[in-house]
Amino acid sequence: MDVEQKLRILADGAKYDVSCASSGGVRETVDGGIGNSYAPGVCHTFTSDGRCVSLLKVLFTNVCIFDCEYCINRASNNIKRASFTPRELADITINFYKRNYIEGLFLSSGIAKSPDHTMELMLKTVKILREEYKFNGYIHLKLIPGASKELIEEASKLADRVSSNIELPTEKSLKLLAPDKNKDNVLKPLMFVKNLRDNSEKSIASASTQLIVGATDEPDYQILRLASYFYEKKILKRMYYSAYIPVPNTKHIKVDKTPLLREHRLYQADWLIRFYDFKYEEIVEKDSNLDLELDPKTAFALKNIHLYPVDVNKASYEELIKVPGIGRKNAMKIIQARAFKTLEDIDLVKLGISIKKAKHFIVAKRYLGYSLSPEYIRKAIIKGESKGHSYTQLKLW
Amino acid sequence: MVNIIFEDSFEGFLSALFYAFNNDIKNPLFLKAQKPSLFKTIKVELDENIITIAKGFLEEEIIELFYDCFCFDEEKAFSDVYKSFLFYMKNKHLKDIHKDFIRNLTYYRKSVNRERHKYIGFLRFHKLDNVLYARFEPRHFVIDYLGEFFKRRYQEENFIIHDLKRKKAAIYYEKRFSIEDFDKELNVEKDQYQELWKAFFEAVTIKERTNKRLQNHYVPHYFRKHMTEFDN
Repeated sequence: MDVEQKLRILADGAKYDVSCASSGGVRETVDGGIGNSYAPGVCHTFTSDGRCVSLLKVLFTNVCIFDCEYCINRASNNIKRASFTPRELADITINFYKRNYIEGLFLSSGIAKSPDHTMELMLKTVKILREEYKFNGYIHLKLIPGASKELIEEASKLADRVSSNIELPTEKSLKLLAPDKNKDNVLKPLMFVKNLRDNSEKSIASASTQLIVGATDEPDYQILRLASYFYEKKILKRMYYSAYIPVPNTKHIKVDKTPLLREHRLYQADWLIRFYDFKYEEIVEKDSNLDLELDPKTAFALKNIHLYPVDVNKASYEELIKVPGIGRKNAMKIIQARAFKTLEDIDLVKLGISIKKAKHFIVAKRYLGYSLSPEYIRKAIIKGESKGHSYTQLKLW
Repeated sequence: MVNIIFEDSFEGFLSALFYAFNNDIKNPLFLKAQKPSLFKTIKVELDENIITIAKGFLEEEIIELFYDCFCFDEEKAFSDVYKSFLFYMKNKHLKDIHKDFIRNLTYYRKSVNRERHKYIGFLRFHKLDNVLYARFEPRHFVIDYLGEFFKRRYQEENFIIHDLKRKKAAIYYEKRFSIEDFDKELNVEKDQYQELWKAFFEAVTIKERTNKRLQNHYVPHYFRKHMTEFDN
């Protein structure tokens, strides 16, 4: 089989891993080497499904001894199989990098023969890159469930990020759909890497994981509680959510497919937890899902309408960022601008702040909305209507 | 109105700013090259020490802001920088974002930074004999920034980043870096990694989720002309 065919098969098999971040890296080029990481992260292109391509995301092999029901590479699935050699993959990576196609490598794999055997082949690839080619670009390595501690340690020293996919929010679901995996062999590597990070002087990769959303019936509440736990304990830097896409011949999975919007709402909620000081209990009710019609910040505001309206000329930064439609950058802009004059709606527009959503929740000299009734605001935001407004000034634009 | 022609570099532009300020010129229009005009035209020579002089009057971060706006590479940006410069000389700050010309600076800088960032990802290099060659047609003057970026990334390589629109290039050859006028047409040939890249690009797409509108939003068509994976 030629390399192009392999690449097609092994990229196809890896595409359901949603993680593509190359950000947060601090690696600098060593003398005589190639590459550095770029902290803000960068997208090198976007595929026709609108997803960012930042890394060469491939499987080392799609041969797999496991039989996880949600996975298209499972042992019982009848698909074409292929494997790279470490040299082939290292050469593709370095040549793509020189042409500026990618930020680095995202290497996952099916499990061929044994977890250790697979992990060793992956590490061999990475060592060719790091040691022989002196490659300092970004590398994300998947930790193979069941691989030995020594190999996991080696991986977390060579990579910028490592990950182990929890896949399902509860052990019960995991047992049902992935009989060869268990909580221990997916979680332990992550705990182990956290300990390394806490006790090592050297740089150790950060960690992430991925959950499949909608293949089983756990609600968003359970998912976000789990995410919060990992963030709080500093075990993970990021959690990825992947709306379930049907694979053929499933026994236990009854659903057709999960709406992408649910995945999107989870990411929004995740952002609120990581960057906006929200607690998961504040944004999602016990044992239920997020509101699909409204983004979680707006949903929060409507449930806590007594906290609003917020006066943009007086509110603290913390209060401002709780306003739907005002993010961290806009909050800073408001604080800077109000030092020179009392802000009115027209000033906000001039600052480039969209008040379409925010107007319901703010006072800028006067209340900019029409009514603080949650039912009214909900309808207005969903329909994007401007009917019934008491002012016409904004129509100028 | 007075046309002020400056030498096409940031130092040249700064020299012109100080010239107009020192000579108290009313309504100057800053231009990179001579244009037919009814108005009086003054050509300002580059002052070799201009950066040192500027540092005596302007904070470092103001100079950086002016630099980013200079890279916007349009006359209205030059003129807003001048107005901001006058404001700064008087008030010693540029924080009053209720002034249009000050607020515009944020816009220019944002636009320039956005394009720099996009091209860090979207620039495509071709492997010629002993040099990596990239060509593109950016809206703003970004090759100096990209040159510095790729100098760190490809420190052992030689490269040319060619701005076809401005006929200039950032050249890094045997570890020496420079920005030069560049009007050569370099031939690029297909190589196997381009084909592999196209194959990869196709294979990572999730067909069930095709969303061309979203793709167009992130990679507008004007970027695609020089990107290997898009058919041109």
